[in-house]
Amino acid sequence: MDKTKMQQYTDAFEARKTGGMSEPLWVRRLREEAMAAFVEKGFPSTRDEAWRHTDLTAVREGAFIFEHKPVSLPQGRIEDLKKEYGGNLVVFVNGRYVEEVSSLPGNIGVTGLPKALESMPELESHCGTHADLKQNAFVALNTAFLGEGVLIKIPEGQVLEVPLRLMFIADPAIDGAIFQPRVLVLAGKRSAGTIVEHYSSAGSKSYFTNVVSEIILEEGASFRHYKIQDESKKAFHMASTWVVQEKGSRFSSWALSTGSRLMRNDCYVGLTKEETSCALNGLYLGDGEQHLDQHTFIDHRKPAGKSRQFFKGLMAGKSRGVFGGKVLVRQGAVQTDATQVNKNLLLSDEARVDTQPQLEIDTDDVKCSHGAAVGPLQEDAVFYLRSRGIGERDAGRILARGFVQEVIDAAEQDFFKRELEERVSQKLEAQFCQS
Amino acid sequence: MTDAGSFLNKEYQHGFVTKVDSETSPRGLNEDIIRFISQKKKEPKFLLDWRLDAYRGWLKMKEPTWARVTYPPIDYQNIIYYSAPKQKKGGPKSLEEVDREILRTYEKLGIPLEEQKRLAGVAVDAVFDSVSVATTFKEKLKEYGVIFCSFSEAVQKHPDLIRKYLGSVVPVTDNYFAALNSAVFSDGSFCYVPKGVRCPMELSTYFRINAMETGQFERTLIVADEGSVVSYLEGCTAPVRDKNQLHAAVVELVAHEKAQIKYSTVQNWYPGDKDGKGGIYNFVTKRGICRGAYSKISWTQVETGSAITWKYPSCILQGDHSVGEFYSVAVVNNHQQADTGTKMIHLGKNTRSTILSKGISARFGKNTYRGRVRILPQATGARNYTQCDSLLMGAQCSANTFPSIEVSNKTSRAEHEATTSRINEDQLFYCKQRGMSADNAISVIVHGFCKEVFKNLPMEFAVEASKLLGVTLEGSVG
Amino acid sequence: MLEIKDLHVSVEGVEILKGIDLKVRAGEVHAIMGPNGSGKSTLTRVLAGHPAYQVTKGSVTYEGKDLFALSIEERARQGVFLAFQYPVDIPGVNNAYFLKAALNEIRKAKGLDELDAMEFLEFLKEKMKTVEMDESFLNRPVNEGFSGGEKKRNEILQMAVLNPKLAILDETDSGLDIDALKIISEGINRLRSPDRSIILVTHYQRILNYITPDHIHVLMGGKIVKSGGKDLALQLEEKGYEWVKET
Repeated sequence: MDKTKMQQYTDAFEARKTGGMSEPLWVRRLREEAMAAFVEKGFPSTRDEAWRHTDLTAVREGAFIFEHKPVSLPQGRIEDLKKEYGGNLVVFVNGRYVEEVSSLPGNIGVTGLPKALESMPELESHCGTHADLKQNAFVALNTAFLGEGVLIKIPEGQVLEVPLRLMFIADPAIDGAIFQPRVLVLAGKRSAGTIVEHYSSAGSKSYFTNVVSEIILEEGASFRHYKIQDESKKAFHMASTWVVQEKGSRFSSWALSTGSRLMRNDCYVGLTKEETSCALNGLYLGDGEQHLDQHTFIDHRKPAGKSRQFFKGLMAGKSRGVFGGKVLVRQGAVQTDATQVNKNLLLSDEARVDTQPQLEIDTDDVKCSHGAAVGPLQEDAVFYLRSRGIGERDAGRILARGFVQEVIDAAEQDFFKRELEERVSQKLEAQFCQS
Repeated sequence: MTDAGSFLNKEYQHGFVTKVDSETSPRGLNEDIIRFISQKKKEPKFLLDWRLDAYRGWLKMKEPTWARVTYPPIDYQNIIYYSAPKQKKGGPKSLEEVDREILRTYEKLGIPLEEQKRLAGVAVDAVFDSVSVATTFKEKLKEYGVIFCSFSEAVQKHPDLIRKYLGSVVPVTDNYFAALNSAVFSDGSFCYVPKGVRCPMELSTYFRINAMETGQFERTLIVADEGSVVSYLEGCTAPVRDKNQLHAAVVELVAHEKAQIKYSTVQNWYPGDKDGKGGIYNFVTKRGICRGAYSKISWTQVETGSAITWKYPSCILQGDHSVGEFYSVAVVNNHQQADTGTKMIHLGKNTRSTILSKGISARFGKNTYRGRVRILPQATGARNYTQCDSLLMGAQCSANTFPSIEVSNKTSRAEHEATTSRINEDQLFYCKQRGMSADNAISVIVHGFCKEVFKNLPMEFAVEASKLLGVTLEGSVG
Repeated sequence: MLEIKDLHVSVEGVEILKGIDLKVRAGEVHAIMGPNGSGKSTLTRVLAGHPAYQVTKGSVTYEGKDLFALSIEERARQGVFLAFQYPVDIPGVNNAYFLKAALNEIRKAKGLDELDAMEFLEFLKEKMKTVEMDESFLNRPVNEGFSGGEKKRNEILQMAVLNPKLAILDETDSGLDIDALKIISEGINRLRSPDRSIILVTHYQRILNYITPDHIHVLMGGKIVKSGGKDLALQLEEKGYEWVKET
């Protein structure tokens, strides 16, 4: 990486050190280790296998601003959010947790990360241990500036009845801000819950979101992780979610990506104990010059794990969609059952999709499959609709809507399905305006 | 006669060594060695320059590390790059002048070179270590205008064709092993089928590595002119040796308008012993280009041998409506490793490609399918279908499936499906209950698993391939 | 209503229709019969505007207008309906939504108000009774997982809902058992009216036991080789298509 560009990161890191923030020794060491890893590696290039189809030049060349003044949202906006999404709301503005305006459920713990890191030494065994800062430069960068974010702790046996929405609103005053929030979820034994991570933009300034989420499911826990990313087309969105599953736990996720200029959404799930199951679903819809990259990695480490993956992409205009999905079955992870499906539609001759499903199997008692497809709208279906009087563009839009319905149905909860349906329909309108 | 125990010979049936006087180059690689090879072959200057270019390019390149194969570093200065059986001056004029020992070798391998003993439908070019020792049915082919001869002969007799096509599909510095091959290749086969000719018989080359610590670097070039049709077979074996030997070949295919090339391989190089000692490193670059509209290239491979296989027979579909196919069976047992697959590059409109890959891993075998399908923006209406299945036998074997699909226009379609599973216990039980031995049952099931690929092989090859599979997997499941 | 003159049609350079002449007046039912591969389906799909076919010669006038100047959906909006031989699956799109979208387009074209969800549902349920279709049908994706008979019934339902002026039925009778055939024939008969024309394309005489056509044409080798009244079907049934060749 260009030395002068690297300078901004090291400078910001030094400034943060001398800023007199109090932090436990382990946090400081973790941050230093992360910074060293980041300085050593820099951002990946397209020569790195996992980044072959995503060019980070724009990020690498970017100049970013690390310190921002706190901004408060107008009261009306908060009320609107509460009305729109109901009860449990955790609000972040420009990457910073705003406790005053959040409304939290009673039976679970939601703590701002700075406070949690200071008061809970036991976090050392989780924070930064699951997200791989050695391999992933964005994790390293986020960890080097660890501080903002939230800890969500669902105690043993507790059920979070109403989904908790984490609303990340970006409203920077100047171009080039970087926000690096961190989410840590500890789902206790036999607990259950759902969170929605929602990233959106308020203003029209360019900025860079670099978020890391770590989710730990203890024995028998059941947890849903929904994500909506509709940031502005001037934003970079780099996100990774790291899930660790203990015995008998169940995890499911659903990620809708419609926004940002350049996105990378990584999801790693470690099935670290026996009899775990996970289901990852998602949809990426691009238009204009958007570049949306969805990656997954499911690591079957112990016997009788089950994983399901279902992702679809729909690209219009000059947008580019990328999918990379790896299933690793380690020696000894017998009776693994893993499937992965990735299907993509291209709506324009200038759009492009690259898909790379990967199966890596190191034992024999398994049942694994993957399927990937890229193609156009079904020609005879377009004809069928048009022969019933529906115009060409509408026919395309209806078929595209049908194409994504299957993956929307995989979202288990109605509130989220409805939200998906609405957001997807909106995005399709925009996509078909361009095609 | 043989330098290996009989129990080994039972497993690898082609492991014997032929005693011949050989003329070899000194060990190692430098420009003088390349000049030595070129001079031995009395090559025109352009070819020597071409070799030297490749060598200089190679020096700047790094050995690739991305494949899922592991091996100790190769000492390229400790390899003998040229070894040829001693011949009378000017080489043998006819089969009578070929060393009896060599003729006997091929006979033992089931490839008698005397035409009267041969299956009438197959012409053979026999490559022994670094040189071609005989080509059968040359005269008959000549009647049709088909040129089929050793590469060295082609360089002497058809330098224009060589100059025009050599390196036109696989550029000299395409990759590390192709560059090495371009610098030091010693022989191989050349085939040219003229316009409109349907080649009257199957053409084949049989590669045999005999000498110790020798690398084999052959080069095959097949050109099918407009509207012609040719089917080509390739077979390979090597003696049992406890040191690894390098085989780095390059195959180039050119299909002009409406031409069809079918290229079949049964690769049975020595795989090494049960503990992974010895065996051939088979690092091969194979690529074909469908230059003209409506042309077709079809690769079929059965890979049962070698300690390590690294090859990706590919198609560049340049002509509109051209077709590329890749059918593959790769078997790894004991400590064998294979990283193989294909690339289909769609450049022309309405181009089609089909990929069918069957991988079988037993014991500690490592099998990787690596494939790439690229449909470029101008390749409207292109289609690809890929199916990759892996069969696993043993808790410590592994199977990887790494496809990559890239589509850049809205009228094309690419589909990929893959499965990985253990050999079906119910099927095994059923076969055994009907009285089959475990080995037999596996052989039957595996054969069924590979059937879709085998049916693309020419008849006699299909039988051979099927037998090989049984031998390779013998005793892999208790 | 419809006049076809010397129509020649090719697919990928191969000529399928080699000069068709046909005149259909309002209120008439025409049956077009012929062996497999005679060009029957091609004719129906060309009339609906399928992009795979090239019209190389001839003309088709529909209500005095050049049919080929209209796009697929414009033809539909002006009253041309094709019941597909193989109706297309559309996963993820349910029947009710699909039909509402189509109907409202056609109403818009006619200058009528669009129906809202309630009005439409009421209207649709009424029509569904006529083809004996269960209400669960409404929420199923279009044609996906339907049996052959269900798909054909769905086509007739769509026809009843969209209320076309010219209905072209492509082998709507094929693959049906006798009960389904009756239901579908009744559905079609109910739609017969003085201002609607029907072109019934079929391989077999069977459906003509239930629907009596005004004219029968035999299509062979891309040409209409014989035309006649309803008795022609019986002769065909008895003597086979070879007989037409001989006469």
